[in-house]
Amino acid sequence: MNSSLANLKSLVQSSKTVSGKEKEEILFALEKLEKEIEEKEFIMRRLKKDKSIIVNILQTAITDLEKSKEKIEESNIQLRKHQKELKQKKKIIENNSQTLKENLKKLEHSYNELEDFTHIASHDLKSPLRSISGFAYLLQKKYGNKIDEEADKYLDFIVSASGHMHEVIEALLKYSKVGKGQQQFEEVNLNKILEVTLDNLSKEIEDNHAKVYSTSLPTIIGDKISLVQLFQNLIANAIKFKSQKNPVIKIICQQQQDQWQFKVRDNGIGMDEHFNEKVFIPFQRLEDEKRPGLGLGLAICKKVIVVHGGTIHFENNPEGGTTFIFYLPVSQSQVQKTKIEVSDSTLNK
Amino acid sequence: MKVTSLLCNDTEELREKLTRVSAEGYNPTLAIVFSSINQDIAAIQAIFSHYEIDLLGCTTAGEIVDDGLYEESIAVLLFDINKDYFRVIQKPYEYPDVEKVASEIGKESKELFDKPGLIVLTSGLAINAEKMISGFRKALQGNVPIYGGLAGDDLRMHETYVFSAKDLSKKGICSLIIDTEKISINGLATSGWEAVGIENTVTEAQGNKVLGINGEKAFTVFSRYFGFSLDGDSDQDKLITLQTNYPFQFIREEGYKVLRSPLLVDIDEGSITIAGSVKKGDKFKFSYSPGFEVIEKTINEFGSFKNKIEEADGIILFSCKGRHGAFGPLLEKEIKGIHHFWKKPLIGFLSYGEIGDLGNGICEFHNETCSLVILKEK
Repeated sequence: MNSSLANLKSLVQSSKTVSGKEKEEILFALEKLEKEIEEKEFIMRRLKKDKSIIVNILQTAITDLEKSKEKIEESNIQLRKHQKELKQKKKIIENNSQTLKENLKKLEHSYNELEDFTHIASHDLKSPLRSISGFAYLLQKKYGNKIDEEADKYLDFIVSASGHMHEVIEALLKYSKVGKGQQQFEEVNLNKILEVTLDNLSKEIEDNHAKVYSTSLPTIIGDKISLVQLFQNLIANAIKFKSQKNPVIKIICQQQQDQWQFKVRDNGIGMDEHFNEKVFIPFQRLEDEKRPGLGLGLAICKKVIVVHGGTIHFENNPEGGTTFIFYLPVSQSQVQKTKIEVSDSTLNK
Repeated sequence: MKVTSLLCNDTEELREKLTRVSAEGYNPTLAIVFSSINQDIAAIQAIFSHYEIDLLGCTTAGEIVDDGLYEESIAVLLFDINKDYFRVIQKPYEYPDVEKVASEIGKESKELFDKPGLIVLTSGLAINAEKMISGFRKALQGNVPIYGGLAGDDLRMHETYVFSAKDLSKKGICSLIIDTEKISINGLATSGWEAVGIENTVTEAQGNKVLGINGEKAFTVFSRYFGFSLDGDSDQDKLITLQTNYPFQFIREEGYKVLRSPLLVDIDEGSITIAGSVKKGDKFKFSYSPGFEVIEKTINEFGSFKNKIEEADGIILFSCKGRHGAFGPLLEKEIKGIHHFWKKPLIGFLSYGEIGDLGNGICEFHNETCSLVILKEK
């Protein structure tokens, strides 16, 4: 209690000049005053305490913020350093990319030149070769069995070699034609392409007791002649490399988002998956040189597919044989069409 | 339901006053008692047992009776309520089982009444009150009214008690389960503390213990922010003031803030224990005491509440001890203002935590609030 107020209170209480009622009123007023003083003193104390605490909190907060600022500045320096390094790396990548582009262009140019050379060379070689094989044939016919045995043998070699060379040149011409300007891209119904293919291969199919099954095939945008070549090479290959069993070839097609997946599955002798790259390179005949063929069929297939914007690879079937899997793009007008229903329609020729 | 409030300076006065009311023909069946830890709690229990009055009580850090705030006294609210309308359940808990124990009480409440309402008193220091509320919620489901307070010990920060007529516990939950189809329970809680300084991050935590703040020991940061060092005995008082007056304002993921007062400080460990769950990554700011205008704001808020809940038989007030530290003698103005609206028997106490509704219709655990509960027989 405030000491002056306490003194005043006791003074009032002991006073003989102040009446009882007046005493009561004065004491009530003094108590009220005392409470107000107590409140004011508390407010002053709290304000003082709050002030010191708030100042301290704010000072500490400022110090902490400054520390954070320093850390942020340090991070910014690091960030700028990284940005500079990134910029340099970006420049190097851009330079490399430019070099790569130029090299690609050069490569493309060389490739085109090579293709043109192949085409021209094959075409120009045809005429002298025709003369060589024609005259060799005449020589054999006119002087065969008339010189001596050794001469007959040499003549046989010339005729046979020129015939083989003719085949090679024909195949090279075919290969070089794929993707050349004369191709016409249009809507092609692959069911019809398959029919033509099977007609072309009817003798091989019959001779080898082969069976060809296919699901319904889609219509795509492509070059008819190249596509016939594609199917023909794959089916002929399957027949050529048959196993002990009669060849059974199944063609399955299904839509996978914006591309068609085609599977040409056979029950032949199969191929080592190790050769997945090699098999599509021209004149690569793997290790078995006794197999018939020039080694251009699958190279042509790959070229046809690449020209049509697709990819090809093969897998071995667990039960034997090989499956060639290739993808061709779904034309934009067909993207919305319902997936072609797989049926077991048989096209056995 | 007739309700009477009593203020007693000691157990003798309590005995006398009870004898008097009994002689006047008033036969209460339930008593809520808020008592200073200096009082003889066992004697209080014996007196109410003698009169066969059910008891729900706890120790405090200051007692409120009607429109006055008192120290080291006993505040009593008597009810002549039908014994079928309520039940007092007290259960002890061992940390960290508080959620399980609360859930058990919740289940029993649901078995007792279709629509139970709870007034919960619990130990004020060794409790994770958030877990306790979670336990009640799991068992009761739906938005059941739960109000209450965490017991105090006149700021000794040593040990607090809850008690019924038979049990006395340092670690216990004492609950008054009320059939709200017979007795309505409504309440409102209000705060007023402001945040200050930068946003801090809890970098290490365990249960309701903050071990690390911004990568430093929690107590190191706390003492630096409040300019506090332990040089002498007087600093212990300052530490207690800081604990009760300057709560942490945790910023919940949902965006709202909850105030958590530091309950205990372990200087050796460098930790600060708060009355609710805390986890690594939690964000908070320190607080400073609110302006004195908050008292008027609080009174106005309760005035608006009075317009919604016009009638009361009895009133209970749980006011945080931190508010007393911040408002001092002016806190009585707040109490007077609240009592003035209903002019009905009111008791309360200065608590170490409050359970109430901040106006969003959900009863939750808070610190630094003034939580009001209105009881009225239907």
